[in-house]
Amino acid sequence: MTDRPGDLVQGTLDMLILKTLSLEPMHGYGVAVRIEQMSRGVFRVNAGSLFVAFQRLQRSGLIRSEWKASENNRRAKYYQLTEQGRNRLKTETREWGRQVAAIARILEA
Amino acid sequence: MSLLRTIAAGLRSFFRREAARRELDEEPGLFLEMAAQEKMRQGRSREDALRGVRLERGSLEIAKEVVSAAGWESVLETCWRDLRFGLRTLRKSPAFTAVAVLTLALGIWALWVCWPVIYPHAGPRASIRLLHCDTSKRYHLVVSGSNPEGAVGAALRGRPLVGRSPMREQIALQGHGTSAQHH
Repeated sequence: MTDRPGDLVQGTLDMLILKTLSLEPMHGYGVAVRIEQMSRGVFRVNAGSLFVAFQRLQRSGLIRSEWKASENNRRAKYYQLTEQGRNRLKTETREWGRQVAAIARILEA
Repeated sequence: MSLLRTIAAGLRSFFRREAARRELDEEPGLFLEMAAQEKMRQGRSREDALRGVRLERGSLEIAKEVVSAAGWESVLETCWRDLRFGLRTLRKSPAFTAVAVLTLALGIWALWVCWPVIYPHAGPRASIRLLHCDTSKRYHLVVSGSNPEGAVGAALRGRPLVGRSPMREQIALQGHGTSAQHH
């Protein structure tokens, strides 16, 4: 096991994006950096996966986007959680807790 | 609701293809730029920083491809492109086009002609012919074929006919086919 940042646990990217956006609206790079910071450098987000996930979430109505001026006065696409996205985050978080507890039980057996 | 949104989003990006493509180019470009700026703040040269980002984050070109191919409208666009390519190719070689069209036409025509000979019972089960239409607004129809009742029945939405003869039947319809009488 290395200490270098690695890929996310498969299937968790959508949930992590929703969580990040629930704090405040953010652009793509901001989301990637925030996920890495919050994981304390354990995860690194692949840019390709990130944009594909944005598109998927947007098409299913969980997030919406608009072009705005960024902190250093450049145009950037900001993503924001919708009400539906907020609900989805709640259910996914609950489901994730259940799964992690189950896996922990298996590994400790 | 979700289906509607998917359709709407697809249509929007299909009809605003230029805008969608520009956005698709712009966003990953900005990502790359922001990530590179971050590295340059740590004292790396611009070139080195960009290379580093690509190395760490994976290819943004591939990401663009994947994003643009993800929506259902990309299938539509591919079909449209294929169609135009096909037509262009056909126009470029008129001799080949002529031969192909003639072959197809001949084949379809031959089948059309031969079908009733090969399968005499597979043709239309009955035909209805208007004989004449007199002043009393009675339409005289001739129905012929292997199963005239079936065809007439279908035409009259299942109204029963009396006095059937298997091959030939003449009926009169009063008015505009609201009632059927044997004639």
